[in-house]
Amino acid sequence: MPVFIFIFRQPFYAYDSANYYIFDDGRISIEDPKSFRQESGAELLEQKIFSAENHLSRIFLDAKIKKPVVAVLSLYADEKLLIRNNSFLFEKGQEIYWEFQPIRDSKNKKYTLEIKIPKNYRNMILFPFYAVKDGENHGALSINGEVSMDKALKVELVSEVGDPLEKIDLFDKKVMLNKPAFVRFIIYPAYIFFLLLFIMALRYALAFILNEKSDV
Amino acid sequence: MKEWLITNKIYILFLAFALIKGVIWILIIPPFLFPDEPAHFAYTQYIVEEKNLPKNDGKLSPHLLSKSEELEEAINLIKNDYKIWSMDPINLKIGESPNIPENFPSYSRKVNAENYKNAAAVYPPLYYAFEAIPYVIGYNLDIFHRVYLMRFFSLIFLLITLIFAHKIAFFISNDKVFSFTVAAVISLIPALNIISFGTINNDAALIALGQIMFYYLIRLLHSRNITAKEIIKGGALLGAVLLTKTQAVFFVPLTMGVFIYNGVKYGKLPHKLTGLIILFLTAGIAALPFFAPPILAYFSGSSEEIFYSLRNENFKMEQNALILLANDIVRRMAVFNTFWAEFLHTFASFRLYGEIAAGLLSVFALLGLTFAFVKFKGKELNHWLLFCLLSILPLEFLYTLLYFKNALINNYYQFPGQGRYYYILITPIIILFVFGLQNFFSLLKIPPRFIYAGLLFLFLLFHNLAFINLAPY
Repeated sequence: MPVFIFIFRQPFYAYDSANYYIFDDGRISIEDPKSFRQESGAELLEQKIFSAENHLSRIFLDAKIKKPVVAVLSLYADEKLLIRNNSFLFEKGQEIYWEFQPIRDSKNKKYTLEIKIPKNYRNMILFPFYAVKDGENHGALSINGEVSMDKALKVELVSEVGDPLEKIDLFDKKVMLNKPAFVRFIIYPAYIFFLLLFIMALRYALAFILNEKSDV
Repeated sequence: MKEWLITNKIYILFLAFALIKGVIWILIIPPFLFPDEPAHFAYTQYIVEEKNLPKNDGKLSPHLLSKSEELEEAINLIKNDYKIWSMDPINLKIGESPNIPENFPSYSRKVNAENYKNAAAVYPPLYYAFEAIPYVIGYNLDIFHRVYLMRFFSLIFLLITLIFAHKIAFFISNDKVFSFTVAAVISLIPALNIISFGTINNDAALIALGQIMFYYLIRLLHSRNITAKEIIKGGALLGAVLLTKTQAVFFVPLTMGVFIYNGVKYGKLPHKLTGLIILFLTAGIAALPFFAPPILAYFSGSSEEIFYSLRNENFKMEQNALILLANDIVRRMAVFNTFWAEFLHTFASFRLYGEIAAGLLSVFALLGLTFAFVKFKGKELNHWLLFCLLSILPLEFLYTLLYFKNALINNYYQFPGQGRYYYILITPIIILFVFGLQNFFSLLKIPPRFIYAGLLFLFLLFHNLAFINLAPY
């Protein structure tokens, strides 16, 4: 039953861009993760993002909220086609996290993430702007309508894994992650042995419990 | 031999199942996933490499750990793939599967003893001395192989726990099926499998030796004659359990209570009090040199700095009686939740159902217990159940005392927020739970065996949900 739930019902997520800032044509790593400046005062931010997987469904945005702040987050497909939109009240210290209805065919698509902060709230939120190598080729970030060539917001995209086979594949990869060779070698045989013993133990345990004489 | 195997095949099968289940958990949980594991590993490494016990210097924090170069590099290798201090999803792209190098380079294992920091070093050393055995056996292997070897050793404590859980339940009930159900439920509780026995953690020794100590006390409770051999055995046991973790101190008043009750009920009180003093002296000789510093730190507050460093300023509260008491109730709800339903978290809806099921069953169990105390008034069974219930009181008193002390003096409201802190008394708690349910449903004319089978299915579901939940993280 838990296996069935996992494969067919449970939402399962994979990061598709953690620790990277993905622009039009692939990954651009940060020059130096520590070389960022925290700035406030922005009312309108437009950050180009690129989804490497289908079912894009969550966005994490690095920001520091000093006082409760209202913000409107919008996601545009190419040519300013609004596809997702929501307004938020973020509390002090809260993480900027936006979960939305998964975008089914988001793989290898470009989007623009727009963040609108009302004027009277703009000084209550600090955005860390990270130095990037080649923002000039893509117009990666625009602040208050002005294109900025050398910086980017830290955005992490998360995709929901929808396809059962893809989910099983990712499950396998995650189970094997960071395991020494001998563990990788025995993990599935041990699991098969566990399943066999599970069935036997359940059968005998039920017989033992339900049998009046309890002498199975 | 063959006859013995046939008679006991259900128990052999059960222990084999528990063992392979433990192995599966150990293999699935990535090395150093849980925040405690590097600290517990570092303690053992210090004992073997420095041939001494680690001693903290200055203020502590769970985020500050004096690591050997080897441990530092191992954590560096994996820290980009998941967040060490949280259970958030791993940063893994579909199609990728990073691996640990087959022969992880041999880095230095030495630790600087000066300005040493390790949150685990506030504990007594018995568990770590035991874990030094697999560390030494795998001395020529890389750190990851040693971590898995050490985890496998924890399974010995799991088996001890289950065997003594069954012995305690059988001693009380004289019912094989009831005892089997109690041991089966214990073996399937998610957090017990994952944190206590699935990783390197001194909880494993605390729980196992705690069950042995409880078995000793319950046998002694109505024993008319307490022999010198039993007193020495009790002293050695108490000493051993005190050497596992500071929380074991609650066994001191519990043991005292058992001796006084026995002396009052069956006579020879002065003799039995002398026996108690000898028992404490034996335990003291075994444990005091290692146990005294941790327990003094536990009550004086210096070890509490570990917890204060986690204090979130947003949680600061006004000190007034209503908030203090309300938070005490909220704290208990959190403890209850983590006791049963920890690690069902990504199954948001199922976790809720699990919590509701555990909550409802606990209410039914309480009602059933109340009914049983009336129904069996004056009967022997009631004495045992009452002892199970009363044995929880000193532990609860200890944690409540620490909560109020921290809240009133330090404005820290979150100690101790984990259900696993009660696993030291897991057997009496589950005995009361199963017995209460059995009596509650007997009012509805449902035979106990159906309740046992239902509990088996429910906890199998909990266990397997936790497994499928945690396995990919």
